[in-house]
Amino acid sequence: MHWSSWQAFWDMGGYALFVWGSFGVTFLLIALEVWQARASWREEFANLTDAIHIDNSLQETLVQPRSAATLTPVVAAKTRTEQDVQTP
Amino acid sequence: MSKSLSPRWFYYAAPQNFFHLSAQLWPWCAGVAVALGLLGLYLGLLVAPVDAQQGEAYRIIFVHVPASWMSMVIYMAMAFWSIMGLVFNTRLSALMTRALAPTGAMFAFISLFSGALWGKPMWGTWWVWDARLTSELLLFFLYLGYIALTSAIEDSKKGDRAGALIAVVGSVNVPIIYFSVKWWNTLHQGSSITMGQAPSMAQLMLWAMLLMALSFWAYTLAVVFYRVRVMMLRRERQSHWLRAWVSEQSAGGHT
Repeated sequence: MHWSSWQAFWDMGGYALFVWGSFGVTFLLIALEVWQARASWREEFANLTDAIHIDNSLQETLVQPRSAATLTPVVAAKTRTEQDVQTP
Repeated sequence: MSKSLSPRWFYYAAPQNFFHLSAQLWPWCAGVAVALGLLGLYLGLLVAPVDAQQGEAYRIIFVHVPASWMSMVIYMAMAFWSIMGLVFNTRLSALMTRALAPTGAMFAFISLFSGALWGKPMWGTWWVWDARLTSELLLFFLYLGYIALTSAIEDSKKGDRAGALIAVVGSVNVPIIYFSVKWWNTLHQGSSITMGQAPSMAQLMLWAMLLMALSFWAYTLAVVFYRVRVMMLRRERQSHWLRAWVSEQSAGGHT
């Protein structure tokens, strides 16, 4: 151990601002990057989950037009239009 | 050698395989980064002796040098992946390049910032326009330029290609940074470690610095593996394998 006391350690021979400033900013930025990466994983994962749900329910509607009434009006309306077009 | 290696190499170049491989790799890299980082900090901050010329201020070296190395290594890695992408047209290479850029920019910033904090007590100034500092600043701007350009171009394929161009052309700057202290008379001190020469610093200081450098390496690998997966969630959103995996994960209840 190089230091005689914690006081001396924190003081860094009078260079506390420079030494701790460097280490502080380094690890602050690393922490921010880790946080940002995790946040963007959660966001993209949620986006894709939503997209899959929407696509699945759309597909159900197109395959079984009769259940359209139970779906949201937008999807139901879309299905009806497609039916109308197909019916001669 | 290449005969036995190449099928495996291209196997992992497929996004699906790399997605699962990197999920297994990043936690190990993160663990190694934390372990080596703690050991490096312990040696560097608590055990290593004081420097005869610079006093305790020299301890900035334990973040400054590893961060500067990483800022250069990452840019070369981006140039490498860009060339791979231009030659083999693999989807993974552009993702790797994009995933590396933010971390490279971060390390370039840390290098400049800690350098300023070191320069003030030692040289009496935060900044000088000498060759080493100027070329490192240029590297930081190259990272920012890469990020700005690739995120501004809507069409991801075009963005990849434009980014690859910056990465390859800009990589000329990296050897300039590295050799600047030899080629020009700079205020910045010479290399702490030169290939094929005894290092100009005490053993313990050297070990602390190498541990910090290895820790930053492992950290970079971890965050890049992680970020590549995030980018695949967007880019491969139409792929069956990814949708199947995501559905399975959300059904299992963990995200």
